[in-house]
Amino acid sequence: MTGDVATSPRRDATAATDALLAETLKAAVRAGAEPDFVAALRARARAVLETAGFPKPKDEAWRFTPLGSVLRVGYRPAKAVSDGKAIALQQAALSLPGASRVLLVNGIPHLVGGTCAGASVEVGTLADVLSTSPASVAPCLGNIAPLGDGFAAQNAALFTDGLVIVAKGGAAEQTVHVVRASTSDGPTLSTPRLLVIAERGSALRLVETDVGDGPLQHLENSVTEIAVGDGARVTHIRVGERARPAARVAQIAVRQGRGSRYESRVFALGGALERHELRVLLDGDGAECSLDGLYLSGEGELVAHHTLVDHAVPGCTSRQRYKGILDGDGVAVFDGTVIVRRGAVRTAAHQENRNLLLSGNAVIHAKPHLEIDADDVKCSHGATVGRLDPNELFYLRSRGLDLALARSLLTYSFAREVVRAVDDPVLERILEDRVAARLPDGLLAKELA
Amino acid sequence: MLEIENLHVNVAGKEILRGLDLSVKAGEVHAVMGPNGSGKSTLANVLAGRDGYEVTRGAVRYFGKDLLAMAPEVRAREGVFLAFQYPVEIAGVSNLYFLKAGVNAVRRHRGEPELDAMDFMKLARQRMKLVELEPKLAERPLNSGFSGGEKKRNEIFQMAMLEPRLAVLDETDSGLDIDALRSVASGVNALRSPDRAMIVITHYQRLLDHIVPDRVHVLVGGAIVESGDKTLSGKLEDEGYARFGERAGAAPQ
Repeated sequence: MTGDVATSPRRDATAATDALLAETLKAAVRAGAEPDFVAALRARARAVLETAGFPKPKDEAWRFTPLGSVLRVGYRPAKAVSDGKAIALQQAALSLPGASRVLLVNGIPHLVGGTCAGASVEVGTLADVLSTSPASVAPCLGNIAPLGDGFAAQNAALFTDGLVIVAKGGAAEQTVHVVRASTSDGPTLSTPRLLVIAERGSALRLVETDVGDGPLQHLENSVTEIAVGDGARVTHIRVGERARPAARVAQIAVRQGRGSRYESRVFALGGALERHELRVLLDGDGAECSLDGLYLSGEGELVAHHTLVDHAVPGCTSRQRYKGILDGDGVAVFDGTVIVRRGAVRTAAHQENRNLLLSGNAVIHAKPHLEIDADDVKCSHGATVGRLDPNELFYLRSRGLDLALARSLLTYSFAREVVRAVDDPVLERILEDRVAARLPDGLLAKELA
Repeated sequence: MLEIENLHVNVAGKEILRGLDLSVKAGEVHAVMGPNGSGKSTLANVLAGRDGYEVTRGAVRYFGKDLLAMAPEVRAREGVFLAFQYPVEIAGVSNLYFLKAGVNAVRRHRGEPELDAMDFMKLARQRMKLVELEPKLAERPLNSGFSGGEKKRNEIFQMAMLEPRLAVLDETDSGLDIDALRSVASGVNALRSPDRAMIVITHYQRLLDHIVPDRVHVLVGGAIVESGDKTLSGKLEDEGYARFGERAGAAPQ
């Protein structure tokens, strides 16, 4: 590639970035009073935007996530929809038995009040909480997720609303189901902000799924902060449907207390640009996290997972298992870092990333990374990139199965290990269907696995 | 049923089979014996259609058709079965469901009606008994956590279900203790029939004490150097392969 050809798209991207930055800074000038800690967060976010701006192609964490398609569009802020439309979207969404369901339409909460009444879990809109009881969220909001890059800063500068979910201790596990809906009303930007506070000894299951009219030009820049109190347990399941919204940049930041447990199961089923950054701070003795991921990336798609597990104190355990299936010219990124801080003895950290390439044009960037600054630790990591095992394919064919079915069967069973970890019959069935739908003869393969 | 003529096969650029001839009729059991490196497993794999085996000369006719032109799954549907020396373990694939797909692919190909779940299970239970496979093994993922003997028994179970016309048993005796050997052999014997031929590939005679062949062939240096009746295997056991001279002394280069 010559210099001219290489630099020209970069110059375009830079111009688009600058335009979006100017737009963001303009929108960030807010009318009306906000609690001091929110105003301070906005000011810090503005400073990050003004100094660092949006990620550049050379930024390590964004090197494999070209933002051209995201940054070119002149976004308008998302607007609320009518109650009728919200109800229609909610009816189209997955229904989970026993779950309290709330709806985010283009990032804006809808139907929150009527649907969520539980003794052990409270769900409110962020705007309400900030106007009525800001002190309850002051210790957490903006203090768990760092303003590490322009997207995190954009969310902090622009968010107008979101959800606050508080789980109370001493009660049976409750499920909150957040439906992320998008509607096709032109290029829109949404900046939802979620804050989850699992109080000491509480048990919460948080499920997030998508519904929408896609494909559409929509950028969702979402930040979720989760505080897991001492002895609390949070299971967090996210199902990202394919290409809905058109682009998603999500940061999930978790802070765990003593003896707590956080389990993440993320299913990224494809999309023009799906980027998930999951940061877990193990900040209390005996905290455990278990992070599972399955990602599918096909023609014209890019799915990126960045994980950072920070063992800040002794005696914590982390386990990561991410599996990817790439087809066509699909691109995927797994960038997983485990940090073991000085003095964090008796740490056990395991990270596994396995990728299946079904096509010669697919590209995986796998970057496992361990930083260990303590003794007496048990850490392991492994990344594999491979094709279907020819011995397994031959075995299946030698029993009469044709090549396409044999391939789909092996691919399906590769995915199913993670699908099963979801441990919920409704979600398991949905995910099995989604995976099968992506494979030739997939429905038949599903029956054989 | 099967006519192999002057078969030359390269593996990774190295000639392993060098002009092999073999003729097998329906109902016959042929033993192919030979030292390590003589080309026994190559013969089994090339008949089943595994990738990486390059036929440079010769022909294989199966019921008059060009076997080598068929994809592995077509060979299976036409009635060719390979009992693997090393059956693969596939943790995510159900032993029985996968086999049902195979059985029904074969039945469709033969113009027979497919088996529904109930008929399939009925047949499976009957055939498990025939080959002494524990029913709980059949319900596990494919060969997952099976012992060596259980894997081989599962191969014979699959053979019993797929009802091949030509079964190739590749060192089915390897890794088996005497009890497992006896039970696998009795499963194989139960499947002998006038319509079915078998090629039993082995290094040792002991399997042939239980599966008594009609013909015994000695494969050395990539070609059959001697053929005879079942007494030949006993002679080989006593005398070894050394008398076949230089070709037997060294594996093909």
